Amino acid sequence: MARSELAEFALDPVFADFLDDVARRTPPDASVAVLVPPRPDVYRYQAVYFLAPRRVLDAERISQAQFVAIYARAAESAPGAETLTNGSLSRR
Amino acid sequence: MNPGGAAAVLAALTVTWLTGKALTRTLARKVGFGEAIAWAGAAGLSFQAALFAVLAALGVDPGARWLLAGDAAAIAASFVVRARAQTSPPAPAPFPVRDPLALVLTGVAGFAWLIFLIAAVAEPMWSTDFLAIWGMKGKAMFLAGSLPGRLFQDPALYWSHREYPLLVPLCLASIARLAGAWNDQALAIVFPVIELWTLLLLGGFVRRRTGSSVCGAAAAALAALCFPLYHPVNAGTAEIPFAFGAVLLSCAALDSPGPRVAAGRLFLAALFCAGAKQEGTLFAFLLAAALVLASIRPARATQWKSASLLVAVPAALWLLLYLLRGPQTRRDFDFQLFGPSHWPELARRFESVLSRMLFREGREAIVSLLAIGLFLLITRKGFSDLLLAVLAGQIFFYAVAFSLSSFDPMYAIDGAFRRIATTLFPVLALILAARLPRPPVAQGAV
Repeated sequence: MARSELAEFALDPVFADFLDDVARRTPPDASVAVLVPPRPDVYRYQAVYFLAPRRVLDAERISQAQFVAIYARAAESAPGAETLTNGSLSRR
Repeated sequence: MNPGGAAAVLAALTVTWLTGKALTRTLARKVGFGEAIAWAGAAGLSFQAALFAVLAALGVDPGARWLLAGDAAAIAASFVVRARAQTSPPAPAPFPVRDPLALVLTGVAGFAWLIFLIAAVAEPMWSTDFLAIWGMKGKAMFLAGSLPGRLFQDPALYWSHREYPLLVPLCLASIARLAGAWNDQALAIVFPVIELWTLLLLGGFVRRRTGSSVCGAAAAALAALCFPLYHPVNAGTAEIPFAFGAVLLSCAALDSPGPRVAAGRLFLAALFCAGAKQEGTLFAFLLAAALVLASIRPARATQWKSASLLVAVPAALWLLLYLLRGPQTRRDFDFQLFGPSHWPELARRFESVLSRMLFREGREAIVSLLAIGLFLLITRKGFSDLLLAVLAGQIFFYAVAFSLSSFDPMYAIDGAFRRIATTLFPVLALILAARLPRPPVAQGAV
């Protein structure tokens, strides 16, 4: 069964694929700012849990990140950003 | 589920339990078969968590080899201690449950446990508290092979309750290390296993103390039917371990004053209960107060000793965690409300909180609450009634805590009260089962 079909991603199954894409494209010791919808909180918690051991940061700490992953907000992607499932990833 | 992953976690749990069995060789003397299994489980999990933390503190990556070596050393040491003590503990009694009613109740408990087992392992652990707190910390410890300072210092993790005790994340990390992988579906097995130990302890303890296998089986069945507690949402969180800790502590306290082994069980139970959740420290302190009040007439020094242990162990654990992670703010609580100028506001909040707990949460459970109240009225006093005061105190302090909430107290009640209240249900099951009339055939039979 794909992770996106599980109860933990029942709220937004596509988010599982997005996190898989981020994990594949960033090294385990990277710091990644993951910009997700502010509500519900579970987006943030899922990102931190599934991307471990990467240091996952929120929008307020974007200056400390080596990568910026944006979910579901294509218009905010930086020029040259890599396209992910329903999102984008750029190196800072 | 990946059968290999499940087998690895089961093997890790078996090693953990065998280590605990060796460590409790003396401690679990004079208790029944089921109780001995539960005490071994508690000791094994506590030892495994402590071993992981000690190895990490020494700068050693706590891999499976080191953990197994530590377990083997503990088992060998237990044989040495046993030889020196020259004691031969009596062989634990098997399950001579012949009463048909006891058999039915045991079957009910077993069936309810099976439902939770299947539901818990059907999917990877998914609850918000697992992802944000317990599982996140456990996974970080597993991956780092240490207790990463980031968990306690990184401002980006401000929401992860850095002040919470670490028994559950350390247990998950050490079991995963023993199993060789972080498999968040296979690791869910830990929680039905802890439930099983809780039921065995309840059943065994009540049976030993009442002399009735029906009372013992009723305690286990009643607790097992608490589906809001034994629910997949609680797989991966500290609720089920805390419920186990509260039962361990209750049983150990009710066996005190007693021989030194009873004090040993009290020590282990206090460590487990306070190590699982902050509520565990509160439970230990309230139990200490209840023991002191109960022993005023006639004054019995041993109860004071037990009470001292119940205060000292959580306090020592708190000090250890303080030294490990430094001061941690409790962002959930606004302690300024204790200031005299805020007392009117605090009183208003407390009134609102009580009203919400009674007229909303209480109303939804009105049938169960009335049935429990009626049962307490019509049955004779039981040997565990002391625990009623502890449970009432626990609920009272939950109300105080909600009143101090930094956020909307009503939001806090709606989000947490039912969850934390249900963790006390296995202790309530003990109290209720101890009040059951004992069938004449079972009188005196242990």
